[in-house]
Amino acid sequence: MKRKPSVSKEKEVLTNGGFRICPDRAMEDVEHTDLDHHSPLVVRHASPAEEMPDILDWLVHHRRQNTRIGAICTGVWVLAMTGLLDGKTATTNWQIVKSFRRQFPKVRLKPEQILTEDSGLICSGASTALYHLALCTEMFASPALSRTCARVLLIDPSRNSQTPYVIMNFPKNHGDREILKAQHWMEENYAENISIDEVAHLVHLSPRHFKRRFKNATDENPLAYLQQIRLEAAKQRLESSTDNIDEITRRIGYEDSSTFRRLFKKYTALSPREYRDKFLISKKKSNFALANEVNSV
Amino acid sequence: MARITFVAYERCMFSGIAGLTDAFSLAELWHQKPEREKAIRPSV
Repeated sequence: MKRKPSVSKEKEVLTNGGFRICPDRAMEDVEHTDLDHHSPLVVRHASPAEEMPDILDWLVHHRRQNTRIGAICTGVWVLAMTGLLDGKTATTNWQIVKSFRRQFPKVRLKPEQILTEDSGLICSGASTALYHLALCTEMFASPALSRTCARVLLIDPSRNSQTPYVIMNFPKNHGDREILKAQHWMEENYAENISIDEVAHLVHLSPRHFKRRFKNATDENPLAYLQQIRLEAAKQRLESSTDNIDEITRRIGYEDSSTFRRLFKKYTALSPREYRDKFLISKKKSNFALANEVNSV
Repeated sequence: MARITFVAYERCMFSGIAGLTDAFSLAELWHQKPEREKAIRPSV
């Protein structure tokens, strides 16, 4: 494999962390390429299309020459702007899933997946999923080489879902005062036995009107929103305490642990126990502290 | 041999470019290794 590190219309590209990348050549000087790797576009993913029509045309031109195109993280947004992903399977950074779906309804988005490949368009999820994209690309050259690189880089090829990493998003900048009040109330009282009609009554709206306004403001229905608050609370307890699962079930407002387990699996793709094994912070910290103690003796 | 092009935007994550560059560099180094050095498991 031979690399040609970067192309740009600019002299230098300033990255998010302040490092500068010096491109080898101008974009229009690239006559042929086998694999285009699209960089993450963290901040400017919502830039209007008119800011980058030349890039979009360039990508379409190379795709028409059967060039494989890879996009990582929010760079998938730019690839979608070309229209090349319409009707194709793709993934992207889990943080932009809602806006991505609104903007590109024709893309078959599978945000739970770390990596997708459809008709020569390879998309990867958030940040470190780029290594899975690298392995996938190397697979075209040699499956054995790809497997070896996975070992050398300490990449787990079986990690195929970004769902367990998702942090629920609770938008509050919608400007609907009653709905904001309802959100705050649910966040403070999620451990109680709450009915959605009760919340509607609290903000002086009919249940039907409340549900419609809630959906408009937050992009979620109130019950799903309440479930997500409870599950976030459960995740925090699983990450930071050794409370048993039944205890956590009660503390977050569920009476039935089987309902909690089913919802938890639905939203995180893991059972509560699997989630704890993966993310329990205190256990890892204590192990680290113990290792340091042993080393210092 | 494949030619790879990176398209980098202002304020992109440095690790995106650096990570992919390193991953492909490593693959290239491994690809160039003599066969006898590639064996990572003893043949039984």
